[in-house]
Amino acid sequence: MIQFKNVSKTYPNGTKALSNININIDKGEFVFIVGASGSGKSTFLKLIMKEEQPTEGEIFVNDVNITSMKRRKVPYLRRTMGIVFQDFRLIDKMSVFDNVAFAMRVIGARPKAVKRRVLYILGLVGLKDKADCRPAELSGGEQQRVSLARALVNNPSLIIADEPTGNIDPEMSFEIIELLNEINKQGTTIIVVTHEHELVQKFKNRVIEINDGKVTGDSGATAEKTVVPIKINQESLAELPKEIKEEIADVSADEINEEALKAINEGEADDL
Amino acid sequence: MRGIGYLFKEGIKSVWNNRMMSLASIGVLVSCLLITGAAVLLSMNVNSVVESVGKENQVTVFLNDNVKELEAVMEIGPEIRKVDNISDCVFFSKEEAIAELQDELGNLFAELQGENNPLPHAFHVTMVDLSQYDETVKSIMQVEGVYKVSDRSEVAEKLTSLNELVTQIGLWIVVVLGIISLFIISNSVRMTMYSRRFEISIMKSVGATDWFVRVPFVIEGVVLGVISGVIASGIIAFLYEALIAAVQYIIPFSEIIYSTVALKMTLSFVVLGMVIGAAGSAISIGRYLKMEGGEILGW
Ligand SMILES: Nc1ncnc2c1ncn2[C@@H]1O[C@H](COP(=O)(O)OP(=O)(O)OP(=O)(O)O)[C@@H](O)[C@H]1O
Ligand SMILES: [Mg+2]
Repeated sequence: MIQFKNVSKTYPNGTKALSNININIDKGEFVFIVGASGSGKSTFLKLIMKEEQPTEGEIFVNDVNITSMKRRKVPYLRRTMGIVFQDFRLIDKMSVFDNVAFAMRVIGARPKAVKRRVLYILGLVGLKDKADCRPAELSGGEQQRVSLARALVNNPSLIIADEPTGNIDPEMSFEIIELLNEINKQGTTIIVVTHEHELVQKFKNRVIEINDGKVTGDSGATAEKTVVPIKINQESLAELPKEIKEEIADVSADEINEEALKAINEGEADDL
Repeated sequence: MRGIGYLFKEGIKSVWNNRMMSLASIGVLVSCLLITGAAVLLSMNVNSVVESVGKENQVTVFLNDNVKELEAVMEIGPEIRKVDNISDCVFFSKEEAIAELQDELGNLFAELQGENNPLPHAFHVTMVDLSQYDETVKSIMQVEGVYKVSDRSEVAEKLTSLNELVTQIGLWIVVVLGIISLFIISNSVRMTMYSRRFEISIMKSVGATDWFVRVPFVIEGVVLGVISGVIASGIIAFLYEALIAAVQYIIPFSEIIYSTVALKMTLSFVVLGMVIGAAGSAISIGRYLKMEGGEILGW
């Protein structure tokens, strides 16, 4: 799914963030990226989402060379990814609901689909009670989960999370990784950057170590995973109001995402 | 396009959220439109005055120096009358001409009487249809013995050149003020964009197209433009009517009645405001669209 071929990145100010990286991540993998602060982990993620350009080498996502991708196509590349930022990047003047809904509105989803899907996802990360709160009214861990919800909401095939457990207690960290693990079991590729070695050790996932801009360790691709049908956090689902439960019962995540994408495509074809 | 309702709301909201800057842009844009409108109205009025003066449809046809009075009256006069579009052709001898000059300028021309009279004989010709002025003059010129045809009255000529000047200056005013307004609007939208750079960076990271990012800002610019257009047309209608009421006894010429141009004026103001607004925001957005996450946020 993701291939780095001899990739180097030097920032305009001369900082050499990554040098000669060769990494292969297959579809359906769950990979931890570890390494000291400033070693180039965030840069690695930014290259995948094409927020930064490599100074050398080539990067492939889903067999497409994104190094030479046209600017016009980048939004569609990003729609296949869900990104959790190290600093959350939540919009303060919007409610939790709107922060998550934002990601769907941006790709032109129908208001009705937005409502259903956002409430469902907030239930998934255990924040449906906080839907009307502002991010500033939430704890660090809760904000982290809003950010995660926003990454999940468009049902991406790749989730990139930069320190999603950076601000929360070990127990909550464990739950978040657990949730990502569940999502991974449906076939979603997941890349998580973390400092927490304990966490990494608890889960038997592939670990790539980056130090000083170089890959210094790679536990290798994990064994083939069996794809299990949707069965995410049924407890939080059970807590949802009855009418919403009924509404979402017949709409799988895939369906909603397809609906949203179809809406965009139709919109561009007909209404413009 | 689906989601346009959402984008529209966002655009309007941001006009309100940045109301100080919005107010400033509207103020500048209204002033620019007012000056532009004033220039256009002035030019239209000068134009209409020129037209009414130009309606003086009499020209003087001067004959060659050597043409005698008899020849003029008997031969050239009838020839001129044959030309199309002429209703009247009256002989005007050089003696009459010099006498008229003397009436105006006193005895200065005393020596120029009789044999010394340098003026040629002439005809006063009246045209039926002034719009055929040029063709008629051409035909008269072809009559043998005709030296030249006087130009339109001097006043009309002066007014025509004044009219051209006014139009030209008006045009420059429109261009210069257009650029100023463009600059102001683009600055206002840039402020909005700066205050919303965070949202823009998130929009881009979740896969918003350039189009989607752009729309609310363009709508903001257009809303500012339309509001300015409406305000400016209201003000100019009021000011113009008041001004005309004040000067109508001083200036005898028929002026443009505002109500006859009100619709055109309002429409052009609103459209001009819209175009400037949209263009102004488009200019400042371009820069942001090319940037990515960290760059937008200035990290
Ligand atoms: N936009 C930038 N311009 C210049 N240098 C940068 C930029 N972003 C990152 N760097 C530098 O590149 C190097 C790698 O940064 P990066 O953010 O990838 O590290 P990291 O591994 O994510 O660190 P942390 O664990 O602290 O988040 C650092 O030395 C950093 O200072
Ligand atoms: Mg980092």
